Amino acid sequence: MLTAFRFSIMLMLAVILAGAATAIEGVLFTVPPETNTSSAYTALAASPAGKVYVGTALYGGSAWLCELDPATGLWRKLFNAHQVTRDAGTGLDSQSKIHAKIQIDADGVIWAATKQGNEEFVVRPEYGESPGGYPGGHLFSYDPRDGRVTDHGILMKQEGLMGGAIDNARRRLYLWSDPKQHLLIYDIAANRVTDKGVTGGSPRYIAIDPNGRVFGTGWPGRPGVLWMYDPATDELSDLAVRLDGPGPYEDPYVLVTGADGRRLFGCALFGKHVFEYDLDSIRLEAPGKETVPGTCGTIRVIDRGVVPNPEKEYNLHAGAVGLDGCFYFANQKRLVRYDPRKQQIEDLGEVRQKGDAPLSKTAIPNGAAVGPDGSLYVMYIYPLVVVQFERLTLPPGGK
Amino acid sequence: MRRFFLLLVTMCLWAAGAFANVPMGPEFQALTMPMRPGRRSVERLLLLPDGLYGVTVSEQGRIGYFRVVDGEIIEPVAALPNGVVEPLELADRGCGFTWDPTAKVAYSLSSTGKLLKHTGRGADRKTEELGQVSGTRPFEDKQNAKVEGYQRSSVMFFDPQGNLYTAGKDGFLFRYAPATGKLEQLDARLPAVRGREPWASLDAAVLAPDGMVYGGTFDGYLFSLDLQTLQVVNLGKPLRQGRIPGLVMRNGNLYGIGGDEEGLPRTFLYDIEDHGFVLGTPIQTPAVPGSGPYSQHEISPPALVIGPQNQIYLATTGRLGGVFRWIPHLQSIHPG
Repeated sequence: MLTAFRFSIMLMLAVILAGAATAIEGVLFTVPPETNTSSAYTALAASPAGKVYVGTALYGGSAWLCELDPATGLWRKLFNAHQVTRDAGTGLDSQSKIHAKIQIDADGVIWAATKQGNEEFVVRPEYGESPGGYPGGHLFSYDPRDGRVTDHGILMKQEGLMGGAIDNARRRLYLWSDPKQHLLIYDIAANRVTDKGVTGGSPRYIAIDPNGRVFGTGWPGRPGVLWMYDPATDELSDLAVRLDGPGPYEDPYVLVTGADGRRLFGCALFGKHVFEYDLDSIRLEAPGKETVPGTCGTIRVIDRGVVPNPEKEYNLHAGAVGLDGCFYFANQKRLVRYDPRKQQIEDLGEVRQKGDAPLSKTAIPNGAAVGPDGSLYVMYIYPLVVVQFERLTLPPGGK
Repeated sequence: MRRFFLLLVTMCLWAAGAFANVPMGPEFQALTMPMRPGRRSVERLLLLPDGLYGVTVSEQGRIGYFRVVDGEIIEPVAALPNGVVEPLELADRGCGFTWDPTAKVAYSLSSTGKLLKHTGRGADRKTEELGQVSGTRPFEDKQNAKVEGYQRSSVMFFDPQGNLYTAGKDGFLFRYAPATGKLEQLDARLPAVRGREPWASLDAAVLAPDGMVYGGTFDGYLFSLDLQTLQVVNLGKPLRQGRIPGLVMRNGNLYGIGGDEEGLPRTFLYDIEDHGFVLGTPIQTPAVPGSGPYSQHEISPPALVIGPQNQIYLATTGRLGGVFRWIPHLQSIHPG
């Protein structure tokens, strides 16, 4: 009896030590502190040229777009929004976040968009009731070939810009407005904005498939709904999630397109599960024949299981698809990989700086991107840093 | 033990919201809309003898109808009850429209601001032109003025004698007497900043039990109209924004929603007795029952109606339009 007890204790200790011992090292780059208040959101991208772009949050002031050369570790501060727009708003009225995911077009031009920083979510004192108020988020482009920054203006009055996806074939950007949650389409060639109306969701990630269909979560206003915009029909449709697996379904924060273009991967803020959205399963239904009243059709979503985590703390907050086709995402200070071929979720361990130093105690992941060499970049806030996991996502055997 | 009891009481009070700045419970309760997005923009709510009905317009301009069963369930119906004139004009957003008390005669403002009278249904439907009401705004080409160039009011109302009122050219009130067929411009005029009179159209109007009419203008002014003397009193502007898309009387209080499409609509209460405003919050409601507080809604006049059991119902428009029951947190400024 005593032997069995001792064995159990030893086994538990072994498991705990094994869990604690698992670690993955990355190279840490500190974003210039004067460009931020230790914060940023989903605005992280890696260009085909190997540069990394970060949009910062500087509460009460102006957000910055910064460029990192991971080869040298050097940062360039490209512009701040107030310099370019000549906006001078403070507090609630400032262009203090570049929150939307940074997009890179076929010419290598970098697209970034601003939104308000400090927000009073319920009462919104600046909206409609202030002579100046928050004017609305601007869309910017930065061309690395000549260094030119262009302000494309405010896309919707008093609304910040969030989300972000690019359709390089049609030369369109997709963003949504905050707080009214309108889906906005910006036609790059025509310099024209089209408002597709209210989505009812606040998706930090917008996914786009090879057909140019755009997807976003209905969370938090419309749980259990994924909205889809199809450029072929110019229709915005709400799809009811049809869960396949034990669940429960968790409305995603991270939503990215798989390498085969036939599925999306998703995971939720404070969620535990990885979900696969089967794009071949989308069924649009005739009006009056909807499976779920109030929606336009359905999409099958497969629960691929619970993220293994020895720390039992879940915050699936940033993710990207690697060159190997796997879905990499951050769970607080741990890194996780989902392999869709094996349908396997693997905890890669606690993120540590090269030299085995831990991340800051307050670190929270917020933004992920994959570089042309297969490096995975994850942005952490408090303080604002970018961690590079060198060539982590390269498929076995190199390119 | 005593400390534990005090702690327990404090926790209970905290849980009950006694220390909260705002009352507990949602101010707006969403009714589940079975219609798909893009087909549920609620343009009108209509209280008929057998209950509350609604009219929707799809993004393609198709008109639909529903009934609110037991004050809670939205049930699509093929048509409004027998005899009620079908509101074909509703696909024209911003068109002033009303039914007479029988709902068998309807009135609307055409795209060029003419007062129209509609009777009959289907093949028997007839439309009669009663005269010009709206003017145009300055600097518009009057020959080729766009629809937006006309100063069309969004609502009309009846007095207890059955006369129809709306506002038209330069903010003047117009009265149509169905009994005599006479349409006249009155001397009474909506409040407006000098030079803004051509924008002074009627967004909302409600007849109070004392015979006074309370109304809201396109520029966001609240006013009272004495139907005996036709005196208009400017009661002020609850918000900096323009528009007052909804006004209702309930338990002696005047509840309203102000704010324009590019702004953020907010609630208010006007205390008729003390002549004061109590200002509320934006119309931030869950898009579906039980969901988060983030969704903002599009509000177009006429947005409010008193339904069965003296409940206030809010109609919202746009792709995710719907019906909400408003349980106002705003109370009278009266101490008693």
